[in-house]
Amino acid sequence: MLGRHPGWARRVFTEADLDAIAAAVRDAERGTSAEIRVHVERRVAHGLRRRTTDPMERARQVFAALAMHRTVHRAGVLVYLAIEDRKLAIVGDEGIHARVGDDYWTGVRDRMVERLRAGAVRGAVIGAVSEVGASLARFFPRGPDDVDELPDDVSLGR
Amino acid sequence: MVIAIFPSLEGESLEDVSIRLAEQWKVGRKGVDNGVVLVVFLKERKLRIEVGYGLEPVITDIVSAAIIRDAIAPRFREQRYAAGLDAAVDAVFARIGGGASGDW
Repeated sequence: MLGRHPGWARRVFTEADLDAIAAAVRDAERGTSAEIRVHVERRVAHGLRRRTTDPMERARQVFAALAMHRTVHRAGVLVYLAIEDRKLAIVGDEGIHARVGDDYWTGVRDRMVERLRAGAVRGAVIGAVSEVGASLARFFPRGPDDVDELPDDVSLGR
Repeated sequence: MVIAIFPSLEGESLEDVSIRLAEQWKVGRKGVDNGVVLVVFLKERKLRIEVGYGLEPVITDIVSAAIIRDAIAPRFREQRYAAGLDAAVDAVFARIGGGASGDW
């Protein structure tokens, strides 16, 4: 199974790690109508077409590419990591951003950075997903008719 | 996001040409229609932003007009075309909520 993932991803995540992150996304979304996705790639810049080295700019591109702005409540949250650049970003769509504000994202980021520096990539991602899930559940609780609008698995880039 | 620059409209209407281009190129992710096309016609000094269905709630007509007016037009008037296009791309992506980034 591991063979289908690129080498840089296999060096950071076992299949069990990826499954655990997907499970954390599923759990986090259980209490909310909003959507969370995790995208991990090797580096922020890639080839001639992807030149930015700014993780926030890149995360916004990924956000759009994963169609995350199309959720009903505009409350999608993307957790983005570029492994070899050791850069990360968290992007929340305008629905959730209007509720939580800038300081919230900074806090989530700081706690992620702390865990990443301790070498706990899986823990950092799952921690952020759970934390964001709790906030989303508060502002966008799950209704009876809610559907899971986006996949829960980790999106692996290059 | 695709940016297309043409020397002239050659007598056609701005809307017709840009919609046709957006359809022909199938900009955006398949099945999602989240593309953005910025078309520039140099001779007529005309610009248009064509937005796929998926991005319409993000880049509304009002937002498109504001991006052209505030990001692109002032730089193009100074013939700073690359700077105008960069500013347009930034303005499009900046429409998505908020967040934080960093290194570890």
